[in-house]
Amino acid sequence: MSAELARPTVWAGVLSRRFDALGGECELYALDVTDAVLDSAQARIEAAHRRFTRFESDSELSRLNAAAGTRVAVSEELEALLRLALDAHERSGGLVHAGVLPALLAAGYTRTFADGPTVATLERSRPLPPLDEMLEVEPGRARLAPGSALDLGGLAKGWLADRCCEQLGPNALVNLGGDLRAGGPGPDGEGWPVGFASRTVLLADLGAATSGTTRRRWGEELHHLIDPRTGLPARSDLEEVSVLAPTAAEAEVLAKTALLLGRDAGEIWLDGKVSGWSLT
Amino acid sequence: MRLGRALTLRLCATAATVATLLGSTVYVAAHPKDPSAPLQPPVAKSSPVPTRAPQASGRIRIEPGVRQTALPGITFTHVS
Repeated sequence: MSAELARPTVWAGVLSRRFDALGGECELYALDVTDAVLDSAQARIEAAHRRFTRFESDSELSRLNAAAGTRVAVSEELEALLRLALDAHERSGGLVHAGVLPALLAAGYTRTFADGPTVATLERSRPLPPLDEMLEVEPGRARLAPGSALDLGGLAKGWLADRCCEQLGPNALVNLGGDLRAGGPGPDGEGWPVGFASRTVLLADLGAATSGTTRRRWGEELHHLIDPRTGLPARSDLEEVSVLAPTAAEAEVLAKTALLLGRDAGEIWLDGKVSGWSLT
Repeated sequence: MRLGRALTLRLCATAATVATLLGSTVYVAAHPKDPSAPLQPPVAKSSPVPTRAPQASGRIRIEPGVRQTALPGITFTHVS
């Protein structure tokens, strides 16, 4: 999971690190830091991977899912992420829904994508109840309704990118599988150069994220992005949405919402909320 | 006088029509279609590898407060 790959320093003074975690590639860049700071950030990401993965039965998330119907103790980090999930659900009008795990399993996404999908059983799919009917969070504890289960996927990456960027110092960039946060003025003082759709933008204290159905797809209408209004893989006229927003977590929520809304409604939804968008 | 001129015009029109008909008949008879003739330009052979259907073009909007550069990005946002 944490096999570190060599990567040349691309700007003078920028320390960088690249490794696999959270189901994808993670990249850290920072100015005026030591290797120990990068080590610490990488360790935090790898610990979060172990804590939030749904593919390991002993992860904290899996234990919460397995205990559905019972109130259980949760760590400070999981509690923060659960509160973010509830907030994202509310701000997206119910479209960003962490309680999609049973629907993902029904679609055949039962194990890591590298291990391959299993047979889809979509005939029993139903619209999901609101997340606040499935999940209760209180200080240090949480409870899932019986039969409910969470997948924190993109939310966890965005949330963690924001925190790790702060951890790396005032001038840093963190990209966790496409959800990224750029803090500070970047290597040349004009912002961190980041590929955004077909352009390169200079990001200073901004986040970016992309949501789409072009990857983690295993059939004609089978992919990982569940529409909570149907309980089925989303059928959108958009394949990818990228967003620039103040934080990676916000960008993730806005991008996913726009993709589920579709091209026309998605554009209206994003206008005035973000620093940039790309709809494909 | 008028009658003679009208008759002359009719005869000329009829003669032109008949001459065109005969001429085109002779030309077609002298130029039969050759089914084995090569097509110009040649038709490309179909690719054995299916190609992806063209996608609808995307739309992008970047607010003026975000600067852009011609340099390549140090990293990029993408679907994971």
